[in-house]
Amino acid sequence: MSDLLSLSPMLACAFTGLLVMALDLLTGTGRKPFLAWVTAAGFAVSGALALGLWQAPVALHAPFLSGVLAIDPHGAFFTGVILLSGVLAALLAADYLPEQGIDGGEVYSLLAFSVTGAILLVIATDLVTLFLGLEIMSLALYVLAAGKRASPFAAEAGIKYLLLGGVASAFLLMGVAFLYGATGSLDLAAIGRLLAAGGPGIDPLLVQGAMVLLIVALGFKVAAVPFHFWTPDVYEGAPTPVTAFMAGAVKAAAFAVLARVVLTLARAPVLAGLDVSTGDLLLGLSVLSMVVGNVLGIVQDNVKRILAYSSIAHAGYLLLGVWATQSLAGAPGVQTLNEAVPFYLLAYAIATVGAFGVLALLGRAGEEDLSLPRIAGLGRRHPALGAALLVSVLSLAGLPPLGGFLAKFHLFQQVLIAAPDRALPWVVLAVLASVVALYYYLRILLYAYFREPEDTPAQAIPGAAGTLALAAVVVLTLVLGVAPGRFLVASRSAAQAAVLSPSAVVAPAPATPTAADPSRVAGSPPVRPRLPEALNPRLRPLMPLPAPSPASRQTLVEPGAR
Amino acid sequence: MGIETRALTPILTLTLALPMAGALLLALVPRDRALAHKVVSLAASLAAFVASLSIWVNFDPALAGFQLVEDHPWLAFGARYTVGVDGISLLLVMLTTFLTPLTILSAWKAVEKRTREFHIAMLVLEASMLGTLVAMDLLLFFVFWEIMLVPMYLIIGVWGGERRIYAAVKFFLYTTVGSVLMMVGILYLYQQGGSDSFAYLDALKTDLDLRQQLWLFAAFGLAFAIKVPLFPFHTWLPDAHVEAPTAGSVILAGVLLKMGTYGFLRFAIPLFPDAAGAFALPVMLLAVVGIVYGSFVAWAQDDVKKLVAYSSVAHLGFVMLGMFALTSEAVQGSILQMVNHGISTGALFLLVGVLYERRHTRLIAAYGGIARPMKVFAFFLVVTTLSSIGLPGTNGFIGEFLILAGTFREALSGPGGTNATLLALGVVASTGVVLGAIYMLTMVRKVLFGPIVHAENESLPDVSFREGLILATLTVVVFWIGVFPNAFLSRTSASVDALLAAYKGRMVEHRMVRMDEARPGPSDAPYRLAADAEVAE
Repeated sequence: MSDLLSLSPMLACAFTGLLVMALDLLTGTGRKPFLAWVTAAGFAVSGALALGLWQAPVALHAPFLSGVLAIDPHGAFFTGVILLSGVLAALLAADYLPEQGIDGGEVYSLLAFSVTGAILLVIATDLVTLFLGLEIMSLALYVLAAGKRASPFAAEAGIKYLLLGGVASAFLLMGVAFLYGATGSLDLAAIGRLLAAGGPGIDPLLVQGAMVLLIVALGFKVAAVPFHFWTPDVYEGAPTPVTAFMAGAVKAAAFAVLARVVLTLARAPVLAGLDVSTGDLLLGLSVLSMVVGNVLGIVQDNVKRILAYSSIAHAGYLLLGVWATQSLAGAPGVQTLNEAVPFYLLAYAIATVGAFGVLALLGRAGEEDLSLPRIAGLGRRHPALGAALLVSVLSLAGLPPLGGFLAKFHLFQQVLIAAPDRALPWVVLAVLASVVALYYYLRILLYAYFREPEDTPAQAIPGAAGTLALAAVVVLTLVLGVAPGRFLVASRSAAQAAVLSPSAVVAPAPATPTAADPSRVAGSPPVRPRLPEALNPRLRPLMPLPAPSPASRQTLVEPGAR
Repeated sequence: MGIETRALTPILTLTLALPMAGALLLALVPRDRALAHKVVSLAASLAAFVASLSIWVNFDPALAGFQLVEDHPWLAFGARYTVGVDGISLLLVMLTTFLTPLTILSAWKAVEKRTREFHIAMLVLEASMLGTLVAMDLLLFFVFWEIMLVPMYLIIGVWGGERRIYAAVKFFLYTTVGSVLMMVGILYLYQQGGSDSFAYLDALKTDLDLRQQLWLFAAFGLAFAIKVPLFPFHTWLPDAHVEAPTAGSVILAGVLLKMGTYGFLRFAIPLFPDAAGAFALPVMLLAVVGIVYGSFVAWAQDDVKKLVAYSSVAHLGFVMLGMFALTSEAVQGSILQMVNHGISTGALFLLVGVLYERRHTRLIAAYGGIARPMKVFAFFLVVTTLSSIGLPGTNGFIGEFLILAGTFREALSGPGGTNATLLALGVVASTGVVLGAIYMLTMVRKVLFGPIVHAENESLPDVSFREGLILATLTVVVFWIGVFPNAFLSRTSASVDALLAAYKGRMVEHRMVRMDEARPGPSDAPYRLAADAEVAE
């Protein structure tokens, strides 16, 4: 029963997919948008279940179904991000699809299955289940990417995504096989434990190879340079709401898994001796993504392609966040994920879905040329759409008071805390890269606000669903930027749960069990703390924040006392 | 410095919130109700001014630290919502709330296109500038600092002149390059502080060695220097000014540039005193270069607005010179000069705007002899020019005099005896006063006097009641500061003295440490000795 309960968010999504499929048969042509609301409602139910499980007693966070799945704070947080992107994408599709002449309910059921797969992916604690989730998510997306059957670009997008996604899957599977070969286990936590213990039977080369293969495979999914080649074409060719979903949910899910896998495995002494390259690999991917993504973004003329390169660049910033903590994996106490990464992904997903969402609501009946001149004058012709674009794009650019700024600031803050000296040059590079990015973000806004439309500007499609989605994006982006209280706390607990079963790495009992305080006995191995608070005074418990102690401030003179 | 008084009622937050509330209200007003937009905007900015008057009244000039402080938890990772005002920020807060309603009034007729968006941008801009001035938390400061850019970008880009897009993008990118490095600086400072706090007062206690200070000063200083703008980072300014609509220019020159100078005084100097000492001469040199260069370039302009824009570069050179002289008179003069520049350059831009609205050209050659048809205008232009060139009795005189007097005092009788370099800088800067008189008076002569060569100038309408009201208000302040500067200086002196005492105290402390190490060094001003010795390594 409790397994079923833990499974309920995923089941709700799968059921939504089936329900939509059935309803599709009963819904006449032209009334399909109704299915979008059903899908969104199903996702909302699933989200409520996930939230409930997260708030539930910790016992429910434990792995279930023979230990291959676990709804811990990490999984629950990303389940939330995926579902939010899914809801928004479904609502956007309700307005977009009829206008583009794609009148079918299968889009919604495929979306629901893709969400199901993505949830499976982020709650998986077992490598085969993880692969299963990745495949379910991707297979639905291969179809969705080619959704605009009349368009040659869509065919290109579908084929490209399928082929490169297949390659990525192969890499992932090979990595899993290597790990199994090295440790004889498929359970991520168990592998992590075995590697940490560092038995003599573990072949370092296999482990190292596995790490490279896994990072390459997930690098494809998060669209990190040099595994990004599919991104602009697929993002451009896919139906825009699907693109929004890919840029938001799929990237978040892939990052959640990347962080979990890399951080759970990377504390292996086997790797510490040999594998200097895991960290270097992450850093290399990060720097390449930031630089290449942003520089290539400058020369694009199609808004969808600009946003595609923006999503590549964001992968770069995020990888820097993962790198900073991963590179310290050997050090005690620093085994959690950079606590800003989940928050960053949330803020990024919302903003990027919002930006693509505005594009989805532009362009009537089959016209899908989203070159920059066609959004000229958007701010005047459609002030509400213009405002949504302004907020989303500025959030992606990382300007306050929007979520994207706070996420970026927090991310770099945590990177500097984790690795103060080594990270500094890379953080400087990252912020300079984000200035380069500002150029193309401003270019979008410049067309939308400053230029007058020339011949045929893109017309907006009015629609309740899309309007609701964009309003939610704007509100959430502002909330994340101004009063993100709970989201930051959630992000921190998600990050702390990112590494599987940290309790397993507590050092063995001390040699002199009679001592009252074993950790003080000279010569005995120190007890490795389970949570970083013990070592890092900055990571003190969270809300409510303590009032400033009078001693830390200077004498206060109340106005009345003078 | 610390917190002196806490606010019983959140006056500062109220002053920030009123323009924001106005902006939100405007978003609800239908698009085509232009008059309603203007009225709401003016009312909101006037309300903010009234609220700021209560800051002025409740401010105790005797206290050096922060007053009317509000402090609330904000973010889970160390940032707090802490605002307060002291003698350094008070005058600038008042300047902001005073200039904004006048600016909005000046745009009454000039901006007829998309009035709602324009006024929303103006109010958001006002709120963010006020926030920048009162923030006592580094992250909060940075947030407001960055927010300032967007409305200004839109004001230049949407309501600007021919090359507005180029100017807007240049403005944005230029200033952002500086500020992202400052962001890294803030993060590094936080990381070094080790107290999970972005509070300004905690940052002051952070222990940094000279190498760290130099880098951090460079990171913060670049952001501020671009904003000031300090020569050679000024190239965005003429473009932005020329293309911006009048209201945008007034706010840009009047308040926005002051954020750079304010940043130096609030953050760069007190947080990194040794680096400030080491950088003082180079910065002063750049300031003086800016004074002379700005003056000559202004002299050569045939476009009135460009002339005023370059005169800003020169005037802000004075502000920077006084600030880095680091004596009480000079720093107070520099704060006052920030206000003066806001008033008189703001008024100059308004006057240029008045001309432009009538003739749609800003070329000096298009005018001449217009004192006859526009008598009131001529009066205001002459008074403002005199204030801008620092005639005794006007505000400009007090500021420039204090800055130069302070600089010369430091040069002649500073702790280390006569400092020839500083003396030379002071002398060159003084010539800037003369140059200022030359180019400004030349412009006035060409525009106002002489025969009327263009027939259409014969019948130019004089300033309207609305324009006259704005200019008269500014003129009153010109003379008020000029005749009773103490009303203003008395409010800055305690904070400035405390800042300088803390600055010199930290310098001496460092020097003592170094003397323990018995390291020989050339004798110079004692509090600069430490820094010099370190640089020499």
